[in-house]
Amino acid sequence: MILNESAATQQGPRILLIEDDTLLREVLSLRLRAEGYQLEAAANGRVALDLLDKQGWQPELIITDLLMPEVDGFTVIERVSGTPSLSHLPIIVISSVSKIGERMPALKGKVALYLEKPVKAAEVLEAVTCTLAARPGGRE
Amino acid sequence: MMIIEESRAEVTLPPAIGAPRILVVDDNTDNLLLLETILRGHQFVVETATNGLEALAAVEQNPPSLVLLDVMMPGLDGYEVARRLKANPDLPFVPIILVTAKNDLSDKIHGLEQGADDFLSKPVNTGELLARVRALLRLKGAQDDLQQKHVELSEVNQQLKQSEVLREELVHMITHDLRGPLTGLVGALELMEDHTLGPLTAGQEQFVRLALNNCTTLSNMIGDLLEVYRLESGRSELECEPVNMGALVEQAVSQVAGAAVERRLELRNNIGQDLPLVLADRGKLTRVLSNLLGNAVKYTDSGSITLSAEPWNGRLTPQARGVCPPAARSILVKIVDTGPGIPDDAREHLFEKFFRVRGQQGSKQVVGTGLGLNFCKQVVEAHGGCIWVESGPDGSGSAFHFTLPLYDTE
Repeated sequence: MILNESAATQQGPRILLIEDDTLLREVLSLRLRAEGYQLEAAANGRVALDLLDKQGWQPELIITDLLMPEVDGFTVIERVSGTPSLSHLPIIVISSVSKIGERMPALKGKVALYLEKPVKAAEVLEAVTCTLAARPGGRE
Repeated sequence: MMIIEESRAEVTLPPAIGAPRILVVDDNTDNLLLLETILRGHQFVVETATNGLEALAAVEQNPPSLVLLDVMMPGLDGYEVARRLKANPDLPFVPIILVTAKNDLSDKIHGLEQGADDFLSKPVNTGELLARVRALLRLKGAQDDLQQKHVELSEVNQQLKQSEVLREELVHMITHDLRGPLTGLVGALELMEDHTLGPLTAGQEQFVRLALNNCTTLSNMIGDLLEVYRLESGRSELECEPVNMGALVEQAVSQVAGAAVERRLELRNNIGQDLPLVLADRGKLTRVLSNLLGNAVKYTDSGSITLSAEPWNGRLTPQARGVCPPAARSILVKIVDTGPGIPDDAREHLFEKFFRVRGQQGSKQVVGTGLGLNFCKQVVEAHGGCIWVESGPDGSGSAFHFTLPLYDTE
């Protein structure tokens, strides 16, 4: 990772970011770490699912792309919402797949927010803040 | 029994290649021979069958041009053979002439209802036989041509549908594949622009800003392309709410204000906050306004761009004829520039997809997808409004007009 090290002390909520575009993944990683979030970034759904299967670490929020090599975002969302220990996790989708497309009904009720690319980093940060605040027992 | 009333002796020539093939069906071999002789004498190719089943098999195996069919036959009679032939959807049109000694009207009606195309009474008159055969062959010729055209048209139609699907896939691919990388690109440039990655020199800052501007242009083009196809395919949904045009216009104006200053154009917004509300999709309508304003800025070299709005007075000017009539209670928005104007012949095509005004002396090429105005038209019409442009003689500028139905509070 090129921009992995952020000076901010990371005590904030844990976020899992799944995005196959390296540039966007690095940009968002840097932005989110700068806001104090504890971040794990995965280049595709398979890496993400491996992380989620690992004992001892669980995110409080998942941000995922949909179309990715190996394991796509649809599969990740299915797995998360079908796993009792993970199903409470809010999911934000960032994708260039149209949010009125034919595959969208599969995501109904499983996704907290859907952002269509191109999206600005500032919008993603705002979405993260709002989604975390909306959790039961969330801040504010 | 002789069924031929009159027959001329003729020199029999071999039938020409491609001559019509006629299947003669009769259980009486004398009759068969006589009909065969007459028809061969007139250069028809003749095949024979002596019962119904044989006739059905012959037609199904290699459909003839016409069938001469005896009615009274043991086993399957002529009516039943006619019925079965016409009921077979795999067969082309094969005219059937029933040859019968039955001369009751009810027999003829029954035969026609079973699918026969014509009748010949025994004893058969040679002249009548040939005339009826030729008349039906003409009908078959026309029918076959029609069928051929139908097949060709279906093929062309299929090809068109296929290329439409390909085009849609291409648009989908382009928009998807461009939007992903663009998102990262904008994010990275913004990291530089806001100095997250450290301070920039003035030169670096200028280039980062210009690069970001181009990203915005790209993003808008992709957005137009995507939205036009969504609107066309009916997959776009308007998210309507009561909207104050005044507030919305300000947002669109702010998007082009920089470019207007750069090109030393005066941008006058005469739209106040006191207009009646319209029911509109805020995001899409803002894009309509910024597209129209953006065009005005791009194509105007000097002078001004003026925005105004008023309740529609119910009258259409001559140049607006031909657009759908606006709803009685509408608001009319005008964007008037002092640019080169739109030539008469271009005006009616201006809102078509990929249309570009060209060939104007001294006009410069301006970048764009050719979709911006089509986007405006589709969005305005999806709102139940109308859009048109008015333009005087060369150099007097253009005035884009669009209407939106008022939000009815009742």
